[in-house]
Amino acid sequence: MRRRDFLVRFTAGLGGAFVLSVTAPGCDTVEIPVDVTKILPRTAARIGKAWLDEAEDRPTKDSLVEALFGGQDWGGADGPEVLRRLAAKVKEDFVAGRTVHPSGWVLSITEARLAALVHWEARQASAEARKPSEKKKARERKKKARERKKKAAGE
Amino acid sequence: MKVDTAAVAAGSVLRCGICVVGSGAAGITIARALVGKGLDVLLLEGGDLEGSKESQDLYEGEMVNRYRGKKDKRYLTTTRLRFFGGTTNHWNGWCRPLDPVDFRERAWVPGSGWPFDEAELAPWYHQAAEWVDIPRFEATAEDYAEAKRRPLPVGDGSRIETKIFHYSKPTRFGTKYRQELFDAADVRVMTGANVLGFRTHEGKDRVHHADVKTFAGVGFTVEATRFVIACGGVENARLLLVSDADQPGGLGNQHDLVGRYFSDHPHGHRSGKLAFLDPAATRKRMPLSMYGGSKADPLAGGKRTRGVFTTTPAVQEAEGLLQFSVQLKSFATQKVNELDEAVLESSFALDAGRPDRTDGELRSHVSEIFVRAEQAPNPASRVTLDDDRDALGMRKVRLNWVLNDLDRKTLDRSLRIFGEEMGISGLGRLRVTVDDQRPWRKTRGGAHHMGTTRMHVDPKRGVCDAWGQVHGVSNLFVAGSSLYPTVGFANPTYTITALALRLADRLQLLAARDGADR
Repeated sequence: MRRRDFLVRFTAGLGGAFVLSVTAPGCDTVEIPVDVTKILPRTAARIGKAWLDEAEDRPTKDSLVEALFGGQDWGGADGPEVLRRLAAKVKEDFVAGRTVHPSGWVLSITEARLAALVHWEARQASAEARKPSEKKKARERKKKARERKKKAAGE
Repeated sequence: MKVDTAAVAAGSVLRCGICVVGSGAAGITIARALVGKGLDVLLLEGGDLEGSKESQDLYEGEMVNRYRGKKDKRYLTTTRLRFFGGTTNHWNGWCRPLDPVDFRERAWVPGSGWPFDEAELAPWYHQAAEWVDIPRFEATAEDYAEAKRRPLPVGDGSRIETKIFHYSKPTRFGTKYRQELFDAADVRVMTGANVLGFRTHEGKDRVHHADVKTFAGVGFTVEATRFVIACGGVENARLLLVSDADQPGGLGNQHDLVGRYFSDHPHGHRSGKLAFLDPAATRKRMPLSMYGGSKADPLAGGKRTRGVFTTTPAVQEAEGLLQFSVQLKSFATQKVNELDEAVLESSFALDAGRPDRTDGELRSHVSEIFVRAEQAPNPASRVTLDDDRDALGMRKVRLNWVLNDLDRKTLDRSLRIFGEEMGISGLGRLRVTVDDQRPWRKTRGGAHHMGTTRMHVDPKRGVCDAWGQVHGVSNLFVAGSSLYPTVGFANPTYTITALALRLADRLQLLAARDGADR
C-alpha cells in the first residue's frame, strides 16, 4: 500500500488517548483502530517537538507517514499487530544505527517520527479546540446585525 | 629496620645494594618483596610516617587543562599524598587488571602497544591480588551467569559487555606493611629523606649517587648498585628531568620523551541518564544492582565487586575507539524533566507495552551514568619543569594535561553505541548530557597519573625498557604507572603492584648475576 492510497489520522480519544486509524480512500476502507496509549502517550508530543526543532531537514507529515507505514500491507492488521511491527521497526533502527538525539536522548528514528506525528496531532487538536463553535459564531453574527440595525436607526 | 634520618650527618654517604626512592604501592611492594633476600635495600620516603603540610607542599605545581581552559593549582597536591604509603593512603580500592587489548599495538591508537603481552604480567597479577587484599582475579562475567546479582546481557554482546572490578579494603600499604619492613634485617627505611636528583659516573651510563636532603636542610648522598624511582606518575618524570647536571635535559631524556604522554583516565561525571524499562531489574539483589555500587560477592569470597559496562575490543577496532566504561550511579535520586518522562513513558509503551507508570516509579528507574575512559597516548600531554622552586630548592613541575580528538571521538561514539545497545536489548534509553560545545566540562581526572616514563624497547619511543630500566642508564629503574605505554580504563594500583613484583624479581636476578660475575 502506497502513501497516497491511505490516510493516517491520530484523533483524540477517551482518557487523553490518541487513536490511530489508517483508512484507505473510497469504499475500500482499511481501518485500524489503535489505542495509541499502547504505542505512544500524549506526552510523546514533547519528544516529537524536540526532534522537529533540532531536525536539519524538517520532515513533512506526509513523509513521516510514508516512512512509518509505507511499503507494508496493512490489510487485516489489528492494533496489537501495528504495535508489534512498530516495536520491531524500533529495534531494527537501533541495530542499523538509525538513531536521532533530541535533547541528547538516543532514540530510534521510528520513535521520533511517531512522536512527531503525535506532536502535530496534538497541535491540531489544540487549534481546533480554540476555534469558536457554530452557536457562538451565530450569536456573534446576530449581535453584529443588531448593532448595525441600531447604528442605522441612529443615523 | 627504621633509620633515624635526623641522625645522619651532613655530607655523609650511605651505601646500599638497592635504593628505592618512594614508598607508595610500587616502592613498598619492591622493598617488601626483597625482604630476606640479602640485597641491602634502602627505602627512602620524602615525607614522614604521617602526612604533613611541609611535605605535601613540595608537590605544589601548576596543572593546565587545555580542554577545560583552566589552570588548577590544587590538582597536583590533592591527587597524591606525600608520606609513607604514598597515594595508597587515600585510594578507593578499585582493582582490575588491564585487558589483553591494552597490551596490543592498535593501528587506530598511535603510540599504543606494550613491550610484552598480558601473559607476561598474568603471574604477577596473580601474586599482586594477595598484596592488595582481593581474591585472585579469576571471576569473569560468565561466572556470574547463574548468580542473582549478575551481568545483564546487552544486545548480542558484540558491542557492549560487562567487566568486573574487585574492591580492595582498600589496603593502605604504608600502614599494613610498615612493621614488616621495620623488622627486616636487610631493609632500611628512612623517612623525611627527600631525593633531589641523581648524579652519574663519568661514563654517564650509571647513576653514581642520589642527592638527598632532610627538611632540616641536612644534605647527604646515597650510593647504590641500583636505584629504583617509585615516586608516582608525575614525580618519576620530575626526578629524571631535574637530574640534568650530567646529562642535559635530564636522565633518560636523550629523545625528549621524559614527561611526555602524561595520561589520566578522563572521568565523565553526569555524562548521561539511563532510563531502565524493566522495573524489576533495578530492585535489590537483581541484575542491575551489580552496576549500582560495590557489594559483597559470594563469587569473590564475600569481598566486594562491581560491574561496569564496557565497549568490546571488536567494536573499538571496528570504529577506531579507545577503551571505555560506564558505571551507574544510584537510582531514585535523579531529576526527571518533562521530556525525560515523555521518553520513559513512550519507551515503556513500545518496548514493554506498559505505559501506566507513576512519576515516582519513573524516577526510580533513571540512573545517572559515570564514564571512565582510556586516554590516548599523547606526546603533547606532558610534565615539564617550572622555573619556580620548592622549599628544598627543587624545580616545581608544570603539568599540561591534553586530551585529543581520539579521546573526544571515544566519548561521543561510545556513549551512542551504549545508547543504541540499550535500545536493541530493550533495556532502556540513554540520554547523553555531554555538552557538544564543551565536551570536557564535566570531565575530571581520576588522580591516576600515568605514562610519563613509558616503556618501549626502542629508546627513541620510550624512556624505559620492558623491565623499567631507563634507557642508557644501566642501574636506574622506574617503577609505577609512569611506565604504562597505554592505560586502559582500569584503575592503576593493581597493575602498579604487579609490575613492581615483576621488577623486584628482576632485581634479584640481576643481583644474582652480579654475584656470579664477581
